[in-house]
Amino acid sequence: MTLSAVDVARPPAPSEEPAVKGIEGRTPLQLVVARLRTDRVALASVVVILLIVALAIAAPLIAAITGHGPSQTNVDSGTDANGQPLPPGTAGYLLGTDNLGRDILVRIAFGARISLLVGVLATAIATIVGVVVGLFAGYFGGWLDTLLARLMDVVLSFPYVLFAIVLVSVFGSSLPLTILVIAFFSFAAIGRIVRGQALSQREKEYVEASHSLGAGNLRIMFVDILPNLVAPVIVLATLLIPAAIIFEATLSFLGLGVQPPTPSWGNMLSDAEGVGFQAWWFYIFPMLFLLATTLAFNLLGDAVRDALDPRTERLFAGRRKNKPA
Amino acid sequence: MIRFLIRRVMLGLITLWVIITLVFVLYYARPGVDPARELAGRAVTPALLANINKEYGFDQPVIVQYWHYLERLVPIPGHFNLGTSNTNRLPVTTIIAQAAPVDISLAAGAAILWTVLGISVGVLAARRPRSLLDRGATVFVLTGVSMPVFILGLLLLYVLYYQLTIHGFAIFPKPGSWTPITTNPLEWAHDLILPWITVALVVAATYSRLTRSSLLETLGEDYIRTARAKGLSERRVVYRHALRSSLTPIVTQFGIDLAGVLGGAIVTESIFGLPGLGLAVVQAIQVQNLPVVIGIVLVAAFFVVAANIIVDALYAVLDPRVRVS
Amino acid sequence: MSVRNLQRRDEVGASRGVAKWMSILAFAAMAIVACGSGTSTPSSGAAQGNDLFNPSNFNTANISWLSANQNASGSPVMGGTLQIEGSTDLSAAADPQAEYETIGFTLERAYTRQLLSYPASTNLTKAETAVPDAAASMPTVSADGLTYTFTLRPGLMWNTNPPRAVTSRDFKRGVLRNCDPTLAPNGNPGYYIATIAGFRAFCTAFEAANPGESPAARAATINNANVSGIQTPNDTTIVFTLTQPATDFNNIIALPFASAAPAEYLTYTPLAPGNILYSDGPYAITTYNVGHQIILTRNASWAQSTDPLRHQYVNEIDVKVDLAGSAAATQVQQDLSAGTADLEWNTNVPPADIRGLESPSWSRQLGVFPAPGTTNPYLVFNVQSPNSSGALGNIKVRQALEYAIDKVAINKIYGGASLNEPLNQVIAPGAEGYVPFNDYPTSGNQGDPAKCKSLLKAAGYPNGITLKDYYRNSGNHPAVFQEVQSDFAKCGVTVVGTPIATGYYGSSGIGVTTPNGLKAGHWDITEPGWVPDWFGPTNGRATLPDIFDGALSFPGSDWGGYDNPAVDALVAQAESATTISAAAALWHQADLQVMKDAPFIPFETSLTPLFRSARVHNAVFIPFSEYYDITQVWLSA
Repeated sequence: MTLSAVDVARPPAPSEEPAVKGIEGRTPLQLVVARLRTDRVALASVVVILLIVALAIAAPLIAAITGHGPSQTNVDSGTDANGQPLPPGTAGYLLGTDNLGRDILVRIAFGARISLLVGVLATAIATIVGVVVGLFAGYFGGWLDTLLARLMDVVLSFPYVLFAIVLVSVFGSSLPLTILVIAFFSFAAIGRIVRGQALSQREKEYVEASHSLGAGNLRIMFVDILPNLVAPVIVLATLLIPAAIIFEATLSFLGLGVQPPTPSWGNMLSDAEGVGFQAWWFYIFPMLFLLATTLAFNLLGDAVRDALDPRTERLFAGRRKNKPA
Repeated sequence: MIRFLIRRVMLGLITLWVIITLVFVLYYARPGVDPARELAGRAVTPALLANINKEYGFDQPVIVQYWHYLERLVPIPGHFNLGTSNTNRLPVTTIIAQAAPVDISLAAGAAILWTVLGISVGVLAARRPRSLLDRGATVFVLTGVSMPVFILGLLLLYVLYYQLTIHGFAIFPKPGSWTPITTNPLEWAHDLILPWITVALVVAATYSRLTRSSLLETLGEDYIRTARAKGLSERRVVYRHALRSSLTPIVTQFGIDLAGVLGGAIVTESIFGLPGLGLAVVQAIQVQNLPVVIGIVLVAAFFVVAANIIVDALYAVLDPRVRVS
Repeated sequence: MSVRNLQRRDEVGASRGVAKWMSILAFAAMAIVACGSGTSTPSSGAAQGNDLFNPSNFNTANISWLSANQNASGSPVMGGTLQIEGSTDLSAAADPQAEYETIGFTLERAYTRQLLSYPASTNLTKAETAVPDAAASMPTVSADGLTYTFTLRPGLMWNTNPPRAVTSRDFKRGVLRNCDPTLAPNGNPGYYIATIAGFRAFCTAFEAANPGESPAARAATINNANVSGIQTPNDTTIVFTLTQPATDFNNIIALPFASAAPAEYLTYTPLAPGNILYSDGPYAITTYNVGHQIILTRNASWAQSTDPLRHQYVNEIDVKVDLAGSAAATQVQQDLSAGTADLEWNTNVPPADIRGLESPSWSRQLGVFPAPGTTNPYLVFNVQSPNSSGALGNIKVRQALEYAIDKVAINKIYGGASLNEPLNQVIAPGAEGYVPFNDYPTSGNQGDPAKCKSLLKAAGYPNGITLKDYYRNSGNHPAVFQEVQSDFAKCGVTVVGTPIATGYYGSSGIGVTTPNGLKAGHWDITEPGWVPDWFGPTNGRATLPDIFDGALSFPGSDWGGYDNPAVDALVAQAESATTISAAAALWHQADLQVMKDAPFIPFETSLTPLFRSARVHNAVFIPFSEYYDITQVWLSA
């Protein structure tokens, strides 16, 4: 049997390993996950997020169980004689009804879909666009950089709530438009950071090495540089999600976001205004769910950032040192 | 330095022009909408519609109207003209002049509040990382960042205004109260307390996080270690040496945030009934009062652009490398 | 031919937008008081339900609610400042020939006078009947009903410096001024064009003039006008000659558009901010801070002896118009209850608060008033729409849809049965020509989806159709849209909604700008509302024609483009009928024909809830402005 190069290059089988056990290296991902696992707050946020996601997924199921749809009005039996909402605990309505007699629990569940969808999708679009724009700007430099950087500056200069109102008043409010508007006003934040990173990374030696190996620009950007930016981008994206959710809630609250009868936590709060104090359940519940969601995402984002940032290792080290031996 | 400034100012002008053009285009892009119809009363006839078109110049080609608008924006005294409101024929400059003091008042008070609050919380948190104080600060930060402004405003009103008032402690004024500072400074401040808190809390949260991380980073630098080794008190180290250099990102952010509020805090003004630029522009959008919309958008954008230029200039002064890029 | 701005009475209560959380505050205050006073039967009479909508009950002594709110006991107190507050400024600079909203009419009561006007009375019939105001007596009408001669009362003065007598030429100038190219789009010269001989030619020419022309040019047009139908043989006589008899000419001349206008009005460009308005009434506008505040003070040139309709009790009337948009209704309500303001301006009592206000401690300040003939909202079909292969052009489709709506649910959105009643025809109770009938009856007016579905199938649409709905994005409109969508869905019809900005309902794509605009099919259904320009047994012209006279479809208020020559003919006959009973019968015929054609679905007719502060005395509701007569009010000492 002749030994082929492959045979020669084959790593030793586990049984052939030396008896001395060394320290196992861990990939960055494993490190991050390990750190996150010890962070109880991060775990709690993940649980909350998963619960909200579950609620969103189960929305049709909840509608089926309670027998109330999210959009079918029910003024006759779902409101009192003066057309005002019914309180929680009324037969069949766990969280009460709204001004059109609809089940608040069901609407909150469907509203979760909107918030999560808008939050994640708008963030995803903003991230992708931001990364691409930032990479191109930072890597190529020159006139392209000037153009793209200035474009991002202009976008960041827009009075964005105002502009969102103008855009929506012109094109009419709808879910896709809301997502695009939020994405449009968010991509520049990511783009700027990515551009800065790309600017500094392109001077590094590994890029030079890649060049000399004959790699094309696109390959260098996306295969060599991009992986080094994953950490900050992920942190930014995770923190962008709650901002997007808040933006959507604000737009819907102003009557400019998701249009009725589609329930969104923001437009539920807007509907609740007219009924206000008398129907406290109408605004307290959507508010609580909204705050819980954004808080969870923010906590998670912070935790991820702490976990990804090697410098905070020192702080972790500090804590471990103080533990009883 | 001069060249740098000139480039920044040119960019600012281009930004303003882009924004105006966009608003113009959007306004006329809306299908099926006729501004003349908007202005006409109920018993309008085709002849009367033609009349309005003639009077307001709507019958001219869009490009001609656009040009008219632009050429009146040349800032020569006597020539500069933002037009008159479609609804009540007041000069737009008058409308802006009446509404601007509200936003200036709101911005000034809120800015002081968020700077003081944000930085002090951030510093305290950074000095004792992982302590209870730090934890508390983190809660503060996360709550502020997770809460949409409209919810914070409404909660403040409900708890601090309504609840207190019905229990006999009418400490805070009702929404819609606005007294110019020239009439009665005490009343002016009294009316603005809740709006100030609403605007400031959310921003303060961001600032404290920024301060904390920036300060922590600075405190890890070598020269700080040297200062400590020299025997300087911790106080001097933090406040005299570290804080100064860690405030750079704050300065940047401050300019932009201040400009944002100056241009009209739409949500806050709506909730507290403050007759500022934000409210005026939302109402103008609803009745397609284009001159007022463009006028206020211009003012808002101007503040943001100016703030960006000033901040960039400050950065250039502080960091010579920036001027070269 | 005309429509009143629904801006005020339309936005009943829950308006969309920020800061309606103020209802928390207002209502809680109410609730605390209401809870404290225990349960009670509403003394406002609202529980009487349908009675309120039947005008024959308005005059019964038993129905005391019309005067329960009035607070007329005691003798008038002179002095004080009446505080009115709201969220909308006047839209036409308080110019009487241009103001076309109820708030404009309300204020004009204080500083303008007409030849005839309406008395402040809690007897609805009296309140709806025009009586002499600036005229010394009712006009002398010729035998053929074509000539109306008015003689002015002596002693009417303008508050010019020095004061000057009001002459018949001032009234002629007022009518002519309606056609000014800047004013005409805001007001309604149509009424005068339709009735006064020679006016059409003059008005058409003047309206077409250049709106940018100088005041001198406008003055020349008016001073040189030769309108045969308006003659002023001397300073105190004015003679109108009509083209055909009109049983409602008195109402037309009682509109504020026919107010006297002094010669000074020809010296400036109309509607420019800063124009001085003169008064021949008890008050004059002394401050007009556009967008913020209007202040009226006593007019020393006015004498009570010359004015049988108005009074001059308070010293000053202070109108604050800049409350933040949507918080306004609840904030106003709170201020009225607390006494920091006296009357509301353009807002209503929010429905959420009504129940609390019906308790004895508040109910005397709560008034629920009729606006007979109001139909608000209603659903109109774009009969020219090509969508769904022109389904809405098919009468059978429309008739099927007449069964779809749960009108009781709509009532609830607007505050419930105590304030609203389902309506099933064009003419509402209290309006001229009202004879109840229902071509599309459903059990309890709650809709009959099964019948709707089967009729739709018979019309050739077994799988239903899709309709586009343009709905206003404020007030109760989003809720109405969702209810319509829900009800139509039960019938197999899918409704896709597009919110549009409120502003003036006439734009935003509803009112088309070209004669064939409706054929573009941007929208299939929409929900406007209607308030007649005047009320009473001669207000037929003020409702049906505007909405359903095909000749006015572009760009008038016949939003859906419906046109039936048979209806147009009936309208023409009714408008030229010589007796009221003949006219009423003809209006009823038109009503029957329109409902047969089913170009729209009526929803309801409503009452208006108004509140006053505790110190307001003699708050008399006048249908003319759909509001209190501010010249009747005195304040507690």
